[in-house]
Amino acid sequence: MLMKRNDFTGLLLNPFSRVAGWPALLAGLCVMALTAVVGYYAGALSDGVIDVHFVDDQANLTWRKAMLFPLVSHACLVVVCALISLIFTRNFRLLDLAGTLTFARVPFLFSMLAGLGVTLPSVAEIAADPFMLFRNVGFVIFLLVNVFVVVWVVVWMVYAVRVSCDLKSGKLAMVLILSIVVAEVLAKYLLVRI
Amino acid sequence: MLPVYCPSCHAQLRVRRMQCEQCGTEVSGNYELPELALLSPDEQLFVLQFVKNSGSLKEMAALRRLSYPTVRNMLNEIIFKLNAYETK
Repeated sequence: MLMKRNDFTGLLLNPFSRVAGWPALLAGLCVMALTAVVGYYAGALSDGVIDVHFVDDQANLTWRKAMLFPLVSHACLVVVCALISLIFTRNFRLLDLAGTLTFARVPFLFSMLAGLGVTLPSVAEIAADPFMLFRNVGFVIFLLVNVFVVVWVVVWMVYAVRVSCDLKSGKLAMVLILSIVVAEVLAKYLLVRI
Repeated sequence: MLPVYCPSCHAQLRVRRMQCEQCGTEVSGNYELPELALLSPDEQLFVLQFVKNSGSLKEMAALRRLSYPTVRNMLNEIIFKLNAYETK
């Protein structure tokens, strides 16, 4: 029983010892689509590599944006990460890297779920009293869940690159930090043109 | 489990004596241990299963219920160790 619990905790920390390649990619894409649907109703968008936030004006959030923006930013991460990984190793399959990195976004679903039912005041109201946001219980819960989820996603991304590319310590840190920064910039550049 | 390292100074052990269980004949000498014997029992089992599965990482992943890259990384580690023994 204890072994089973340890197994489960281990999988929560690193699911990629069990799942990678096509199954991880397909499961990850399905959850990404579900996350986009929930996000659309919550008025939240994941338009970066590791961020989820509410949109300023719900009317600006179209189905096209909700579906396309996470996909484009994630594609940027996969491509950039693969290219940077090539500096250190050629011994990896793009399918594994794409699959594990896509699966690593699964926890974002919890962020979007936490955003459901949260009603945000207008920008003018926030500008008048910025602290009113912290009296909004729904928003505070969303914020806390989001911080936890971002840490969780980053941990899964670390294991995704580690397992897929067999990189460790310094090289792993360098590949991941560079990939996130470059992909974030590239994604912002591309998204304003879509 | 075959001891391969000295329990006192951790240097690699060598084979000095072997015995035939049937007639009791003993062969003495100073022989090197085969490289595969230097791997841990888990790693030896991995090599054995890998050979039995015709070197298919996909089948190894299914057998061990692990992901393909995890199994490939285990193999990389064994290759690294074997190469290190060779250069010693």
